Order: sequence, then C-alpha cells, then structure tokens
Amino acid sequence: MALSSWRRRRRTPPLPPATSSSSSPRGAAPPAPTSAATSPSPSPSSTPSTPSSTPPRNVLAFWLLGLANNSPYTIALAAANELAAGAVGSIFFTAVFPALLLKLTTPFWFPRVHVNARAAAAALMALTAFPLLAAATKGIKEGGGEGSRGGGGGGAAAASATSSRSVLASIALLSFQGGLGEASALAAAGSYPHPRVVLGAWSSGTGAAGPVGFSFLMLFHVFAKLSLRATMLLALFWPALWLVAHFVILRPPPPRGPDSEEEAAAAAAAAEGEGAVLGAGGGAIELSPLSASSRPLSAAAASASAAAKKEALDPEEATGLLTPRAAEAGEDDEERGEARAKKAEQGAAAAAAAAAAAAAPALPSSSSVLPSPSSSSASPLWAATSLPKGFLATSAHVASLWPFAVPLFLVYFAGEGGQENRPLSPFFSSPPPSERKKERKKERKKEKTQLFFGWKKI
Amino acid sequence: MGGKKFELPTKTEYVCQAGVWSALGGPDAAERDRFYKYANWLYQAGVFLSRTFGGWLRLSRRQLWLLPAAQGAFLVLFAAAGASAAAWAGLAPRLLPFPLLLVPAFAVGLLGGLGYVSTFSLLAESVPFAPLRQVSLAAVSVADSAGIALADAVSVAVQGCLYRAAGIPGAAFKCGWI
Repeated sequence: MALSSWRRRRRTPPLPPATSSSSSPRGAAPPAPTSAATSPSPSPSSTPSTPSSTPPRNVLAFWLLGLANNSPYTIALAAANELAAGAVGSIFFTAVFPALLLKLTTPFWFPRVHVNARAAAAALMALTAFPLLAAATKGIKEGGGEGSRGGGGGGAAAASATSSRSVLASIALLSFQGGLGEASALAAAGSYPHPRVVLGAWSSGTGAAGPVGFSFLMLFHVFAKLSLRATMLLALFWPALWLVAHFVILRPPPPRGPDSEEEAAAAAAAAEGEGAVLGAGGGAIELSPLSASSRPLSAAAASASAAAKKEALDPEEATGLLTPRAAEAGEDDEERGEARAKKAEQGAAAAAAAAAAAAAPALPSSSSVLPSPSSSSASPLWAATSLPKGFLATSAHVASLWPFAVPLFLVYFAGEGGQENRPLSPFFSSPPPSERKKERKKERKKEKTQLFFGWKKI
Repeated sequence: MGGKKFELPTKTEYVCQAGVWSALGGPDAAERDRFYKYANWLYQAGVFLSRTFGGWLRLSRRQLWLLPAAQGAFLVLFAAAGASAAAWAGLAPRLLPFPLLLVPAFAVGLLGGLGYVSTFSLLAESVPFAPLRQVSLAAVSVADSAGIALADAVSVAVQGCLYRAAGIPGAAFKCGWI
C-alpha cells in the first residue's frame, strides 16, 4: 500500500495544481506582527506574483542562497586545514558547534526578527570572517616562514598561536553564518505558497556548494596560483552573492491578500460554530483560538504533547486508534478516566483549531498529499494555528517535530558521516596523485636499472 | 609546484580522512587515497543530484524513516569490507573488489541528499500555519547540524577500529583504551 501510494504521488507533477485560495493558510486579514516580521521585503507593493506558481526568479534566488550559504564554509574549512594544521580536531569542533547552538535558539527569536535582518547578519558574519582568515594567513607566513612549511608543519603551527586563534575565530564566525543563513532561508522558504519548489531550489544550491567551493579553490589557489590570502579575500564574493540573491533577486512572498479575507471570515464562522472565540476582529494574532484557550489547559498540554508524540508517526493509525480507546475508557480504571477527561477538555480547543484548519485550506498541495493530520482530536503540536508562547510551549513544539528531526539526524550518522560538510579535506590532505605517480614511476625505473645492472640482489 | 601547497603533516592527514572509506581501497596508502577521493566525488555528486531532484519524489513520513535504515545497511557493508580487507590471505578484497564499492558510495550520497530535501519539504507541507511553519523549518535544521557533529565523532572511532583491524597505522583513535 505504501509503495503504491508512493508511486501515485510520484506521478503527480512537482508543481501542485493551481487553486484559487493558495496564498494564505489562515486568513488573518490585516498583517499580523508575526507575518510582518517574516516577509522578506519592505515593499510588498512590488509583487504582483501569482499565487498559483512560483516565479522563476525566486527559484533562482533560493538556489543562489543555498550556494552562497554553504560555499564559504567549505572553502574556509579547506583553508583552515592548510593554516592551522595542528588543530584539526578543534577546527571541526569550532566548525560544527556554533551552528548547532545557534539553530537551537532560533525558535525563540526568529518570529521577532525580520528575515532581512537575519540575512544581513549572516552576510556580515561572512564579510568579517574572510578578512580575518586572510589576516591569519599573513600572520602564519610571517611567524612560520616559508621554509618550515615545506618540511615540518608542526613548527609552523606552533609559531603562530595567535593567528591560529584567529583562524578558529573566523571558522566559528562562518559556522554561525552557515547556521543562521540555513535556518533563516529555510524559514523564509516556509512563507512562500509552494514551499516544496523553493526548498528544492535551496537544497540543490547547498548540494552544489561542495563541488563549487572546491572548484573555486582549484581555480584561484591552484591554477591561478593566487596566495591563500588573496583567495580568502576573493571568497568575499560569496557573502556578496548572498546579499544580491536575497535583496535583489528574491521577491517577497505574496501577501495574505484580499482574496484571503473570505477565508478569514469562513474560518471565523466555523470556529464560532464550535463555540470558540476567534479574535479576528481586532486583527491581533494573540487572540487566535488555541492561545486563548490553552492557558488553563497547560496541564493537559503535556499529555497532549505526549499523545502527539506517540501518534505523530502515523496520523492514519492515530485516528483509527483513538475511537476504540475512547470507547473503552468508561470501563477502565481511574487514570484512564482522568486522561479521557483531559482529552475531552482539550477537545474543545482542538476542535476549534481543527475547524479553523479545515475551513482554510492549509496549503495548496498539502490537501492532496497529506492525510490531513489535523482532523483527529489529538492533533500533533505542529498542526496548531498559532505560534507557541513562552519557553516551555516553544520547546514542546520543537520536541514534537521529532518525526522529522530524527531521520534527518540519523541520515548522517548511519551514512558516511561527517563528509557532508567537509568535502574538500580529502582533496587537500595529501599530495596530488600525479606527483605521487611520478615518484613511484621514478622509483620503479631506478629499481629496474639497478636490477638490470645487477646492483641489487633479490 | 602546485601540489606542494597542499602538503600537510602526516598526523593531520589521518584525522582528516576519518571515516570508514579511509580504510578501504587496498593495502597501499596511495590506493586508499585514490579510493577515498573517488568515493567522495561520487558521494558529492549523489548529494547534489538527490538534493536537486529528490523533491519530486514526495516521500511519506514512513519512507523518510527508511532512509537512515538503508544508510545503516550501507555502513555495515562498508565496515565489513574494511574489516575483512586483510582477512583470509587477501581473498576478501577479491570477492568484493574495491571499485565496486564506489557504487554504494554514490548511493549513500543519493540517500543523504534525499533525506535532507524530503524532510524539509514534507515538514513544510505538514505545518498548516505559516508562521509556525517557518519556525518549524528552522528548528528542524538543528538535526542537520547535530547529525553531522555526532557523525564526525563516530567516524573517528570507526576509523580507528577499522585501521586496527586492517593493521593500518596512523589513526588518531586507536580503538582501545591503551
């Protein structure tokens, strides 16, 4: 069954069919503070982009964003391996953990910071890091000297402790840049009507970054024989490209325009029909149904998240399992009964949310692709219709994303592991094969002549 | 010459070449280097291809979980090939010649890239509320970094053990406490 459905899905064109109401999932008619904070451009008037398809320039922009985001990182890692040769372990530590820590904090401040500010901050980090790397190159050349680099690299690394520290600092900066840029661009992709298209463009660009970064170094550092310092300064091209892609090429997503007002009204009507309060009147997002009613239910929220975790993997099974469990609850012990009461209590909020979600089509493509996980009463946290408020709620939401996070996490661990983000190191870790082959040929020739003249006894 | 610039101290060389692939290719260090290089190029090509076209596949959430399982199978295959490289008087590499292992190296890249693009595409289509979708996409990218961090650590350990099994000197981690 799974395979057949996969085949069926595969046949469907990548661009979902044009539906009239695709621009906004929930019709908050006036731009709420969160949506204002996430639309990439200050000028929404310049966007007559049709909601039915993604403009090619946005696809190009996301491809370039992916390329420009990951290339600096790969280039700098290769350069750092050449510079601070003694400290490869700390280089990889510095290259990975800043991005990890930064990405962990994003759910708490991304909704409050405009995407333009995030993109500019990421570019600024790269614009700082590459001159820093170039300066470190100079320090190493002065400290270690040209002669010691050929023979023992350890001496060069020891002689330039300060510049090796600045190498680490610039690597950390570029790690921050990569993490911030990736998280920001992924978040921005989520604000476009066809996220699969722009996300595909983004990930294609990141996939190209490895070979492109390698070619960049080969072109300038090896073939053109530019110094590492000059190459690092040339690498400022990548943050510049990032800025151009984001601020010039990329068009903001279509605003939740006038045609979505009807949806807002429909959603409000549906929610009122369920007896919930929908704060569409003031246009304030704080009054959306879940956040209004979830405060008294904070105790039930934990059990709801647990249920969501349990049933998140397969919503079809979840809907199938829920009804018999509810039927049996009457015969069960007190704990079950309590749980059921909590569930029923929470059902009011969930029903309102589900009604609102059903009234406004979530995404143009998702209705045909997904088995509508929000229809069950124990809907996962990610199907909520408001942003989580506070540290605990936000953390619970992030934790509820584990069905997506765990496969992504394990794909690297179980796979070849670690080569994802350091594709250049193998190419720079040893002398090129041509030289090696030459040496071997020379040796063999020597051996042959020795044998021929009988110098060497076998 | 041009190549001189990329000469590194020997210790660095081995730490860089962490992972299972660095133990494959043959008893000669040059052969191992060559295998590692080709495997990485194919891996990169696979990542690029599947990150570009993987979005068309529209994997379900269950199929998403199959990807790491398949990667685990490949990891076992590589580890077995590396561990048996010196076994049975050199018969093992002849049963499974190393150039053949470049095919699964390419497949590993394909699956890895597919996992990336499928996860984010599926997540974007699973979260109906746009501001929450944006937060979720950014938050799940933590798993990307965390997976790479853990994989880096594990690959060093696996490399040490494979080097020890195959009798190759120079691993940073010696696969043991001594």
